[in-house]
Amino acid sequence: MDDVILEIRDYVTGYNEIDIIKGVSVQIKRREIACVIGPNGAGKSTLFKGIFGLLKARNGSNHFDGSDITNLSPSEILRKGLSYVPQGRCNFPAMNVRENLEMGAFTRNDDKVVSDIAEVMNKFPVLREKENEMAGNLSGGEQQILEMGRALLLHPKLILLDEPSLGLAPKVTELVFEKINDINVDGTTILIVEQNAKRALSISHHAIVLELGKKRFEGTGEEIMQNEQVKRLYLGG
Amino acid sequence: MEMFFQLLVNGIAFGSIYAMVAVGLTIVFGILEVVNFAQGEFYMLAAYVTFLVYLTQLPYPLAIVIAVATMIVIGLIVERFAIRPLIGRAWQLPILSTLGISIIMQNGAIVIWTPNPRTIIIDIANLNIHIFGVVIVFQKLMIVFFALALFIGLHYFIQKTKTGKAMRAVSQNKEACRIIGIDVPRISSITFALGAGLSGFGGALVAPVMAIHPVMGILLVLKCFAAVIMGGFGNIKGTICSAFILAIVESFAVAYVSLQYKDVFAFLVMIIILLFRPAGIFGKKVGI
Repeated sequence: MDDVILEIRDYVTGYNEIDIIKGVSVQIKRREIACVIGPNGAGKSTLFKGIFGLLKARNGSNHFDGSDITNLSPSEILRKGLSYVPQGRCNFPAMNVRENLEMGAFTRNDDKVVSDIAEVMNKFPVLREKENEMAGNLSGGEQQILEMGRALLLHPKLILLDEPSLGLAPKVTELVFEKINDINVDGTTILIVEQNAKRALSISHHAIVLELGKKRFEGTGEEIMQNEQVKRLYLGG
Repeated sequence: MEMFFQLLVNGIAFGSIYAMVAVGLTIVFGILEVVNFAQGEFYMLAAYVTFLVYLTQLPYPLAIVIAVATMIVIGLIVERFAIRPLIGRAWQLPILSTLGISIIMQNGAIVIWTPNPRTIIIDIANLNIHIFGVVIVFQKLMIVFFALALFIGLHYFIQKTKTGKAMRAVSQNKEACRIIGIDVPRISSITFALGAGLSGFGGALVAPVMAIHPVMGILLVLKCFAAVIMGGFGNIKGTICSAFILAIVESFAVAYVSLQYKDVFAFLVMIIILLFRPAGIFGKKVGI
């Protein structure tokens, strides 16, 4: 059991009166890449917001790295080592790349921040190249990489990546997925939501298919990719 | 020619005051998205605090420090109890709330200190200094000096310090701040206190050269709003430039056009500038 980093049990959440996630149970193992795929409106992003504490749980529980994080605030969850990179661009457009990264370390008070930023820049050389550019002037893919780099500054044990390839050209998507793989190789568990299901499955150790707020299928990335029903329903034949 | 420089110097001195108060307004707007109608009252209260401290024979510089510190504390209290509970609700609520605070402060001042104007007499403040035929009251030089030092300090604070950067971050994307753990309410609180402190500094600086009375902040804050709008809401540099433009135009208009219509000119300038640059002098940029 100890190699389970995130356990979601009978989890229910939603907006206003409506439940979007209607009782989902998932276990994510340490150091793996797991993905959540499914059609529009399946509740993939809602599940992430719920895990990160942006929505209140209506039933069930979330356990992360041995502690109950159900209904903790985002900043408390962040402190436990769980980071979230939301979908769409979510950075500080009129601050430069370095400042954006510094903000990623805002909650830290140690003196390693500068060397950690240098390390992130080593990992993502494009960020060093554009160090003094405003984040708003970067391309979509560069902004996505910036936001992933920013999340790394808190040394998270698990990163939730919501639609990292949204709006990106195929070549850029490829680069972003490479970077995701690199982050994982360094030991960080990754849970990813993707529209681009095939690409996500190809790097995932574990995959969950969500439909209308419920888990429909679960298996290794390979299994889900080969599953006839999943193929027909979500992977376009 | 001497007249010209005399008016220019006066304009710059008052521009410094407008700019201090207006920068407070603009950062609060940029970060909390709240229009603070009580900003003029921080200016007024600080002038009174300066007056009261000075009455106790303490030196004037100490009176400034006490006045500014008092406004920062009042600012923290106002933010905590009159603004924070309203954030995220209808946008009109914080406006009504700060308007209410402003009315309470004005009337409180009338009750406590009467509507009669008070003055502080400080000999050195009223010293006339002659530079190339232009006569400048010492205190006005001080005002310009402190204002410039303050703006340089503020620029450094916002560009270089961790808290200042977080203020910019909050003004640009609150959602992103929450995701990486920047405490938005705390930054809002610091910002509001800073705004109140800036206004208070202005009030403490004018105390020796202007009459102190309960409604001294009303017209000032309206002109500062004009500067904030002209500068492009939330834009610090734009706001500072606009405040100086307004005060200098006002200074010349009083001398060459009409004293009676003194207060009209600031708004006239604002309207003219907005006609040609609807997003303010510095254009489209949003955020600080």
